[in-house]
Amino acid sequence: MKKKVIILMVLIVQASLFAQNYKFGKVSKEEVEEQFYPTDSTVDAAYLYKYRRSYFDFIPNEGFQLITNIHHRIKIYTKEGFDYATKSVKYYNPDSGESESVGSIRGYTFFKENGKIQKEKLSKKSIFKEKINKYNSKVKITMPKLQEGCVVDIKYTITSPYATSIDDVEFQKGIPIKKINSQLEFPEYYTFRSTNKGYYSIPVKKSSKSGKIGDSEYRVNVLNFNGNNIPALKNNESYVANINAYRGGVKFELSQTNFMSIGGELKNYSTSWANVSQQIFRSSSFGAELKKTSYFKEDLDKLLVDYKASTEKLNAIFQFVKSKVKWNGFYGKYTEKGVKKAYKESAGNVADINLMLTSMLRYAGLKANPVLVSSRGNGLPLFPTLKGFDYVISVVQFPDDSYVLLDATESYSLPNVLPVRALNWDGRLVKKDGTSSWVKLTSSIKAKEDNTMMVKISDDISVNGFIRTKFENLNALNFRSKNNHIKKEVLETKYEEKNNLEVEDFKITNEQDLSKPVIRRVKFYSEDLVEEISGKLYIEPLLFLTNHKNPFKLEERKFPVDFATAWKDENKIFIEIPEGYKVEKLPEPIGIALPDNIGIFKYQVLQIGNKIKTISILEFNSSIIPSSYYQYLKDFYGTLVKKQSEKIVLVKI
Amino acid sequence: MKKNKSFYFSLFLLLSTNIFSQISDYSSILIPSEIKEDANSVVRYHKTTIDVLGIDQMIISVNRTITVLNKLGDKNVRAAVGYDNNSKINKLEAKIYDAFGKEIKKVKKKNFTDVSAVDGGTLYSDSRVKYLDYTPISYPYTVHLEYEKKTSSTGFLPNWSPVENYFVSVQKNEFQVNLKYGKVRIKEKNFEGFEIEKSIDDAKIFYSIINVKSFKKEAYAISLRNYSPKSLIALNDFKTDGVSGSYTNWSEFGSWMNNSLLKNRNLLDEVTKIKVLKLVEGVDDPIEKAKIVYQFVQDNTRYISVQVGIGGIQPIAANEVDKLGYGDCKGLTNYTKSLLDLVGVTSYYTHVEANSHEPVSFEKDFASLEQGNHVILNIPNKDKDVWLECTSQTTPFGFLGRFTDDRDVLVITPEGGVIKHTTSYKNEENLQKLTAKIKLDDTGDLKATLQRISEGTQYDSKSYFSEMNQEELIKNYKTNVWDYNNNLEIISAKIENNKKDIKLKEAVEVAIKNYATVNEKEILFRVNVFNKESFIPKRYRTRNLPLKIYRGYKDVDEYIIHIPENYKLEYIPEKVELNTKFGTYSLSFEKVDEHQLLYKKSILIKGGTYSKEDYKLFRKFRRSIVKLENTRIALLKK
Repeated sequence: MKKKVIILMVLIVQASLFAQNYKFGKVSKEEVEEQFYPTDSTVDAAYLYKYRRSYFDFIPNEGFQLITNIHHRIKIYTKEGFDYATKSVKYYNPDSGESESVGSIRGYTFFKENGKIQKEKLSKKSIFKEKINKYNSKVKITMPKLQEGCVVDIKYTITSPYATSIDDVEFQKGIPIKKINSQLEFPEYYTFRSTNKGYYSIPVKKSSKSGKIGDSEYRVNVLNFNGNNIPALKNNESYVANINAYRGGVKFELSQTNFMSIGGELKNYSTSWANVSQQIFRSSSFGAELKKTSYFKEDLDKLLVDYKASTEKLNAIFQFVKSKVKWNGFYGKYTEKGVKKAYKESAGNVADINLMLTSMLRYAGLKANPVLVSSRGNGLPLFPTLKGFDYVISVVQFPDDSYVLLDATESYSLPNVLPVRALNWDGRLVKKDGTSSWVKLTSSIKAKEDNTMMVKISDDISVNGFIRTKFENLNALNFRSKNNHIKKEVLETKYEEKNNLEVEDFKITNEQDLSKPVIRRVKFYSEDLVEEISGKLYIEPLLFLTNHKNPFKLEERKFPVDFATAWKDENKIFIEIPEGYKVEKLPEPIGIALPDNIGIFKYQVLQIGNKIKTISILEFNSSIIPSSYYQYLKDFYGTLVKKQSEKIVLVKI
Repeated sequence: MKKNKSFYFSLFLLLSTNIFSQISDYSSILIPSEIKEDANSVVRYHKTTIDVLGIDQMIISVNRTITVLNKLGDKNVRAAVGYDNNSKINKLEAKIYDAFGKEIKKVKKKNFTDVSAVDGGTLYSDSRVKYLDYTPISYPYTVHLEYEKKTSSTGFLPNWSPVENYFVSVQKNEFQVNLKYGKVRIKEKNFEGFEIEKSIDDAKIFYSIINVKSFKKEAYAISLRNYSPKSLIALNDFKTDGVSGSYTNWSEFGSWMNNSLLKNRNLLDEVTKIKVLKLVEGVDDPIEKAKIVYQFVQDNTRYISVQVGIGGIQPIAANEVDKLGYGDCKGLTNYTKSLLDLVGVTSYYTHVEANSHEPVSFEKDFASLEQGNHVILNIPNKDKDVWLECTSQTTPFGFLGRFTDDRDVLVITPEGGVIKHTTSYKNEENLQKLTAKIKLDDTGDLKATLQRISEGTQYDSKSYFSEMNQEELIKNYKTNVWDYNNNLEIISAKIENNKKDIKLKEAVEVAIKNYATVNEKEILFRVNVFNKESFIPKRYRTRNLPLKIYRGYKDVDEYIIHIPENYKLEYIPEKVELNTKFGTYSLSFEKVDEHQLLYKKSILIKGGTYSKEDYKLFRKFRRSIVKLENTRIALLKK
């Protein structure tokens, strides 16, 4: 009996020793005095506490609204961390329709002065509302009296009439989090599906309590995520489509509403990709838009008179839409203006254009369907949610099971050559009946660049040469969209600058003829390509095409390298040996490959008569390279760079 | 340092109209080819009409037709109207025409997109802008814009600046001010060589320009503002945000600022007063006192830009900054000034045109509210005034840097405004000294310890290194500073930011694997490991503008290179010296002993203005430097 009491007492003492006060406005002296984040002394700021509670509030005659209470306690260690004391909360506030609101904003800055902890209240003057565009507004809050070491405590509440649209729970940010507590409370009428994302997870604790509407009670399901010491995942590496895709968190999507207990109905929503696709399909801004044909009928009948074969029709329609309707820069799986208006005004968002394209292709008798896409900025389509898609393209399938993907928002795109923004893993093909299936977006067509160069070295070791570059597929698309509107003389100067040459003649052909590769022909002169040391000539075999830098410099990488496409660069260089010289040394050939056939590098320098021929091929068969291959990739490039910088040595005869 | 451009709306006011002389043919086929040459867009006709109806009533009307020739010209459409709490847009409409002059779209006021005109660096401003969000269907296309806007602020009268940008041609631009009220002062600039007509009397100012071919942007040149025609206009008596004022010169302007906007803005809380007075206790020298106060401000405030209040030119009160712990450039400068007042150090609030690309000076002989976009503090100090940038928590006392150096600024004293010139950082003052000990081994690997000291503008461009943590610093060396060295490993890096002498000292220890190329008989390596200049100015087939180098600099490098034991130095490159009017370059090698080589390099670039013919020579000079910077040495196996 006695023993028990003692144990209990010890437990109480311990608990109180470690008890942290997370009540708003109760910041401890220890928190203000902490000099650096315990497990990572390099961070500029950290969340000491990141709290969120989202619950449903019933408003008579209106229904449920979603209330989200936020409380963030942020420790600022350095001046660079000051930015974390300015919050920007975006909310939906359309010109017409119901708005969300941000309110009950309160905040304190805690800091140390003369050995004492002082606090300064956030004043109304430091809270600003700003309308961003016709859909969204934001509230900006900046905290007073910042100094290194201070702690800011901020809370606010977001009220949304769009109760079923739940923001992600974010476990991981660009700065570490000491303690996180996120609670979501859903009335029994709503069922949400949750899915984890990223490389950090926190187990959920489930419980329930009761809520009331008038006299009738209902059950509330509570999900709680409680975690400690979550490391930061910083955004400071190259070839990353969207860092948030890799940060830990949970996404929520409404899967069912069931009001049968109070005399309403039961409705199922997205629980699978099939459901998500079906739901999008049923939207009036998607499925219904596909069915409209009257607006283009007349024009298309005229256009199609001359074409009989399906590929002819496909190309004609694709070209027609690209030239007729221009992309306004907005993404979307749903139409913005509607296909009819977009057609009339010759401008529209992604869905306006590609749904229009799809229905025209169908009208012409082709088996065309829309393909839902998660664009590169939107993260990976790993979990079935409505928000998982933000873009749509079109697919045409042929009787032999082959298919082509089309995106008419990009004027230089081709069948199966999509712009980079749409190249993100897989897309969801939605059929006429609303059923759906996956389709691979990154086609096997490689982006190609081919260089053929011929040079002659003069007595004064200056170089005259000619280079022909061929760009194909995605490289051609990128070349055209980047350069076609730029004047030739500007491109010429840029080329000179980039390669440190004097250009004597500069020609680009097929810029507008999408059926052919872009060809660039350049005649050049340079004094800097051959080096003379102690009477010998040293030349890099690839001349100005040599890769001198390894793009992968960091020690480790936590996420994949995303090239957007498979690609191949091939260089052939012919150097004429100047009179009176002979080869003393040529670099040895090499051929290296990454594991699992991901990529290869082949390199060979040969003497053929009075010429030196160099062939260099670099090829990646996969657009995305998992982080587990990072070390191989880094070494692979290291070898490549070293090999390409080996010199040809010529000596006097 | 952040820029505070509070005078936004002047940007949008440049555009402008008259119903009587608009063009009737909107087709773009007949634009003369010499006007289209090199242009991305052509202003067909632009008329600004300003009716000054009273001290607090002004109507600005714009009638603008522009043809966009290609994608790059889209940004010149400028179908945008700024407004704020003092102004109201009465009329706004745009029509878009295709190449043949057929109307393809009409956009009414309510269909313009309305957004905040806040730029990235500003937290809040009441400036807003309505703009035309149009997706071009084909090129060329023509936009006709008409608007009328009423404002109660007459402090900022739109200037006439008909050459809007590079690569924009102008067929015709007219500008008219109808003065129903008040008197104005005018300053005309760069009219020579343009087809300009004008007529000016007490009631009306009128300008017209025709056939201006587009200007190309060139590197190492003065910018468009220095050679394009411009007329500055200011009302002698005006009202802005309910505050009236009058001035005809900088002295009067200064007095007005001082009496109307700065007065009584220097009140401080008692607690702060006691705190600061205690900090300077026992210190007599005013500059020493100022240093302490500056440090206090840097430790206790931060920069947050909030543009509200009188014309965006009145600072928030000192005690308000005290309470919030932040302010914009006006608030923080006024706060610092108030604290200096308290401790008995004289200082003056100063308007400056901040711009890192080129120093922009105030017009000595023409006072107007519109000049200046930033505020700094002046401390008179015999013949060498001290200037303080109050928005930075890290800038050393008295240091300005490229943002505000070397230009005429307006110093506001109780006796009136005075034009003074800020500190300039000349050639050798912008010094970087690099010394290194390098050890090369026979596998081609290299190890080195180096020290780099930067001063002047070179301090300015590197001082932020001292704010980086170790991880960021190492990444910075690998991917920015020495990105041309593959396999670079940073073993240690230490930064010492000596704010007293304004010097940044870096001490770095590095290793580079496979730095040199090793063959059977020899080792080849590039000697310049740590300071490789690879920049060559653009080549111009025809250069139109004189060569301008805004800021010179000097770099001095000295390495001791230890070569592997089993190798010998057989051939040492000759000493090279290049002497040009733009500067000098020298490179020399010296054999210290059998195993040590001394490498010395120095480069001096002199700021200045040179003829356009000199551009070619300058380019040649830089090309030769780049080549020499790649000098490699062969070591022979013994």
